[in-house]
Amino acid sequence: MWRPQLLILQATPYCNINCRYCYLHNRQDRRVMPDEVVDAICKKILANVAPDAVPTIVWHAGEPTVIPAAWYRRAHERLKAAAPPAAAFRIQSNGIAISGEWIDFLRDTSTRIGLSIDGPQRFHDARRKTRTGGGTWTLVMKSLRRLQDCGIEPNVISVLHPDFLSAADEFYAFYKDHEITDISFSIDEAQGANPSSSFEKEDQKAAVTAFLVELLDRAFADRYPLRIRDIERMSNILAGNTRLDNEQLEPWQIVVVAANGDVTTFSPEFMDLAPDTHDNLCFGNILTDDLHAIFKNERVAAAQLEIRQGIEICRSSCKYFQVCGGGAPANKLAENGRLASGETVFCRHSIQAAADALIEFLSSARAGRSAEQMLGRTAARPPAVALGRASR
Amino acid sequence: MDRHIGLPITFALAMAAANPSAKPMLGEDAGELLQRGTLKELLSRAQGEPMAGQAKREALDRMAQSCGNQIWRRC
Repeated sequence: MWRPQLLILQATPYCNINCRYCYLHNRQDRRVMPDEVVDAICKKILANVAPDAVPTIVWHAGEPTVIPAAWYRRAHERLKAAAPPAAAFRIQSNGIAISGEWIDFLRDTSTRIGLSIDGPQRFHDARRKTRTGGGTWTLVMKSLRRLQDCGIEPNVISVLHPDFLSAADEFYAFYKDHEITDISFSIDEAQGANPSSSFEKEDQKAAVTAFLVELLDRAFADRYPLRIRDIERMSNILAGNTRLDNEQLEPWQIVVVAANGDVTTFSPEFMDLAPDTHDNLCFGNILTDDLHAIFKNERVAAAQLEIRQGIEICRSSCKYFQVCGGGAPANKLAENGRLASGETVFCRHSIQAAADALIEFLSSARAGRSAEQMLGRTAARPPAVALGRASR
Repeated sequence: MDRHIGLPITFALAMAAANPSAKPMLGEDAGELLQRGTLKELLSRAQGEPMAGQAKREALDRMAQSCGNQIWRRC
C-alpha cells in the first residue's frame, strides 16, 4: 500500500504580499482550486493511501489565507473523511490576515499553522514586503499574538540573509520575547522566479553555523525550549528515535497538487520551476488523468534515474550524506542545472551548517562547559536587544 | 500562564554528552566521537542500532525527568 508522507495542496497560486526572494512565478494568479479538484484529490489520491499511513496534508503556496476560511472548512471536511485517521493537517501562511474566523477554523479542525517571520522587524521588513512596498512585520506579529492568545502555537520559518548572521542575539531575543519555540531556517534560494541567492556571492556556511550555535547556547543557558527543526531532526537520528528519511528522493512520498489539478512529486518546488529540460516537471493532472497513469509517467522514471545518480554523487563526495541522504532535487536542478549533481549553496547553508552547529554545540557540552559558561561565550558579544518578556 | 514545554531533544543530548552516567544512551564511545567531531560516525552508530532506539528514548525521557524537565517551562 502507498504511504506518502506529505501532500501539498496549492489552493491558489496568488499571494497578497511580494517578498523579495519569492520563487513563485504565478503569485499574481488569482485562480482558486475548484471543488472538482478537491473531490479528485479525495477519490484518486487519498482513497489509495494505506489506512495506517500518517501523511501530513499541507495548504501551501501562494498565500492560502487569501481564500476565505469557509472554503477550507468545506474542503477539510471532505479531505478528512477520505484521509487515513492519523493524517495531520497544516497550513503555511504569511500571517498578515489571521482573523477570528481563521482561528476558529484552526481550532475546530486541529490544523497546525506555520508563519513566515524573518526575525526582528528590521530584518523581516527588509524583504517581506506588501505589494506597495511596505513592511509586513507589524501585521504578522499581530496575528502571532492573536493566535497565541487563543492557545495556538505556530511554528515559525525564518529566511536568512548574510546580513542577519551577526545578529543571533537579536534573533534569540525576538524568539524568546515572543514565546516562539519551534523554528526553522532557510536561505533565499536561487530557483524559480528568484534568479539568485544572497548566499552565492560569498560562502557563509561558517557564519550560519555560528549563528545557530549561538541560538542554541543562549537557549540552553536560559532553559528556553527552542527547537530548531533541522537540528532537532538530526538529534532525533542521533538519539535513535528515528531514521534518516529524505522524502524528496523517492517518487510519490511527496505529492503536490496545484489549484488547476496539476500534479508533481519529489521536491515541492518542482511545481514552480518549469524547466524546459524536464517538460515542466508536471507529471499529470488529477482531474483528467488516472492516478496510476500519473505514477507510471515515463518522465517520473527519467527524473528518478537522474535523482538517483545525484544521490550517488552525494554519497561518494559529501561527508554530510548520513544526515541528508542526497540533498534537495529542486535546488540541484536550479543551481547546478541538472538533477544528477551534488552539493548546492542550499546544502552548504542549510543541512551542512545545521550539522556543524549540532556537533559544535554537543562538543561544547561534552567538554564540560556549563550552561553559564556557554552563555558567557555568547555574552562576550554585546546584545543588541535586552532579553525580556514582551508585554501582552 | 505557566505552560509545560518538553525538553528539546538537542538539549537532552547536550545533557547526556556532559553527563558520564548517561553515556550509554549515546553509545559506549560516543563521547570520544563527539570529541573528535565525527558526527558521521556517531550517526552511523545510532542508525545501525535500531533496537537501541526505544532504550535511548526511554533514557532520554528519564533524563528529561531527572534533569529538571520542570525547569523547561515558560511564562
